[in-house]
Amino acid sequence: MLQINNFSVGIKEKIIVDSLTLEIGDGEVVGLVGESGSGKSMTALGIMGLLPHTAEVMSGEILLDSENLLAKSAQEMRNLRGRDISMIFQEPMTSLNPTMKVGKQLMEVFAVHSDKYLKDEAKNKVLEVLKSVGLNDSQRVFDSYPHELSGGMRQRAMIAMAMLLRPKLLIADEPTTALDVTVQKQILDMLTELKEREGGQKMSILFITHDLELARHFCDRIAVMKDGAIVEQGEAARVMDEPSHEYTKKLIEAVPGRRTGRKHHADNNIVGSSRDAKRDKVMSVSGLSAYYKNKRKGVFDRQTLMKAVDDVSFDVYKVEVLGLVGESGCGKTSLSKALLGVNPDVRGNIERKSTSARMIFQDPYSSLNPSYTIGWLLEEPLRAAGVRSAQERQRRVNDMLKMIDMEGYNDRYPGELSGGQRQRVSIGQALITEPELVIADEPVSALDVTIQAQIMELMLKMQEKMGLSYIFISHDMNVISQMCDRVMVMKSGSIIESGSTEEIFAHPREEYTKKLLDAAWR
Amino acid sequence: MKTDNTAKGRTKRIRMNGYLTAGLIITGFFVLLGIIGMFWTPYSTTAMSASEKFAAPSLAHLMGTDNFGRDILSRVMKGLGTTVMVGVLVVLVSGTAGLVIGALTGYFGGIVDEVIMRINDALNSFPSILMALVVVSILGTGSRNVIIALSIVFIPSFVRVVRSEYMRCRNADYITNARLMGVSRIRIMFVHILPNIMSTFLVAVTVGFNNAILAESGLSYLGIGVQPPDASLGKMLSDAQGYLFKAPWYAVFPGLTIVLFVLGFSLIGEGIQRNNRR
Repeated sequence: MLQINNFSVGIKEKIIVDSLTLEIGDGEVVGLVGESGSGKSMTALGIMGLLPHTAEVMSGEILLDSENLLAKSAQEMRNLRGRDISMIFQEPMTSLNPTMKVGKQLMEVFAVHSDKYLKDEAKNKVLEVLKSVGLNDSQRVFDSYPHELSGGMRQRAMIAMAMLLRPKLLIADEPTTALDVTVQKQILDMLTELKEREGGQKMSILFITHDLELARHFCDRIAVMKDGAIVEQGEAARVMDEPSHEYTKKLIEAVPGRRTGRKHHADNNIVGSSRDAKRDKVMSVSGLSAYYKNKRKGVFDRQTLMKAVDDVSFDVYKVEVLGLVGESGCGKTSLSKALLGVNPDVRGNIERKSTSARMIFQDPYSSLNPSYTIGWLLEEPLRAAGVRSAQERQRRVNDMLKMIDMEGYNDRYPGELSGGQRQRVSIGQALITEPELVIADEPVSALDVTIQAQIMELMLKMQEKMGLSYIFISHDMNVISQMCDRVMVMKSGSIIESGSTEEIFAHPREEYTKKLLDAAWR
Repeated sequence: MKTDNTAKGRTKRIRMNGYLTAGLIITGFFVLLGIIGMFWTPYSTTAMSASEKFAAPSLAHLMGTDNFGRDILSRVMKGLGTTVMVGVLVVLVSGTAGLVIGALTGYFGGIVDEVIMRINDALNSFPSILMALVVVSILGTGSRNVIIALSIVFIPSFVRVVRSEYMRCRNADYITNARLMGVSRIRIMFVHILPNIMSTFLVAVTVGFNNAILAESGLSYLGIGVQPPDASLGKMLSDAQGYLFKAPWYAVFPGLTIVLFVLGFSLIGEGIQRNNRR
């Protein structure tokens, strides 16, 4: 159906896609996996004819039903897009126009592509398609602006838009990465269903993702991409179970939860059992509620509060990793802010042995001040902590750089580092004052899998060296299973279940926990 | 260790571009001329000569002479010196004040922000030249009072720029991080945030400098700025008005000087902005 032969794209002397050859059959789902920067998205944009104008096609052909897309004019491609090939993007908020009602945007597809465009007929069709993607309240969705819908609903609306004209090929570029795991699963199930239901010619899907587990469950075949070239392709199960290329092995190895797993502290004598009452507590929280301020309508209106965390109690012991898991909006971040003392609107008790709790942030691109060098950034916590001697500070900075494997990076700026390197610096910055407790808010979810593994390893290594405790926040059960000694599951502001990692994973009590585990495809 | 180098390097070096180079050359030339003018001019700026009234530009008088036979080049140089001084002092005073007020309101927000911003709005609702006129008429004329008047008038625009930048930065993760480290608020404001807003602030400074020069010329043109026998470009323009056809060079050269000087500064501002966008 789609045949890509020897396709190469370059941007300014640099080869982005390197003689790529790939075939997608009728009704087939092909996964294109690889780390960020491997050229996955460029390939997709090349098929759509939407390459940025700095990019240049250097060789090859892309055949859709034996017609070469690269030879087509801009006008012909415009007609083709939407009708024969559609694309779903990663970010559902930015791919819908925020100033236009959803229904109108969907109607627009007909206005552009159909010669005879009847308003009522088009509207009926749009409502029908919205229903078919699981938006049962289709009339309300039709009349809503994008911001009135949830992330999952927006992504469904995007898919509806892509499906409107029954395309032959659907390109899905990380369609579920921005969504919660449970929603993720629903969306993928729905895509499979839509594909099957198609009368006559089945729809083919090119599924782009960095998530190998996801690709394995959803795709017929998988192609692994590295530095612009496909290094291995084949049946999904075959590639995952018997990878032949070194890089594929490395990728699979790095998937959290697939490795031998972390040696739990419960096994060794350093800590003993997590539930041992005699163990030292680093922090003890009881009856904690946290609120956030609603936006005030005017200067003289009363400030109203919303409850984000509802009556939460737990202890954090010395040298343990306490996992906090839940979907976005469940209050994880509000809880961590309350624990750190950033949010003043709290009720309840937090007892800490020392005041030095620190934080590692999710996005390594915004957690380091871009105006200063790495050396300065690592020194700042020491200055703030009142370490007077410049030599002493310098010595500790250099020690820390050695520990985080970044020796000699003193004079570099954050902008010159990769995401993984920045996250290392963030960890160094949080640990340099030797705190007892560090709160890590999704510290690896913005990173590629191989980097993820490195960062988690570093965090555990540092824990061993410095004897600290982590509260590890994540939405990813696989990551949690690898990192944590104990897990707390949070839902709409309350902790609904908690226990040791083995316990929770083997015998989840709550329906919600089961759902989370189920969605993680373990 | 494996690293991907997709992150675009952001170096601290100031990158030159066409706008910046041209702007720096033009501005540099006039600033130099003005500084020289403070200490030395080809002729005395006040020496009159009846025999050389309205002499056209020549080798002896590159820009010609005026209605009193004074050398226009010498007076332009002297006037430039006055103008540069007024511009620099006004930007220094109002920029610093704007930075501090903007930082405080932007970082803290809340009721302080509301009150200061409403005062700001009130000041902004009058045309700045009118405000300057009012202040000068209260304080009296003369270059010192012009500087005071313009400094007050220009504060609100700096406050606005700085405030919005601080509001953008105050919720960034790296600021939260600094708060968690226990860094003091003053240090966060002026050590952690300030360098990140500097490029935007510099653009505001170039615009402010331009406006100060134009406003000073305007006030002098109206006769309430720099007083004779001190030379000022604006005052020269207003004097030349009556002889536009008889001695066009009298108006052309001071006018051209103002235009080019302001152009040079605009180019610098544009150059900084283009660097930021990249």
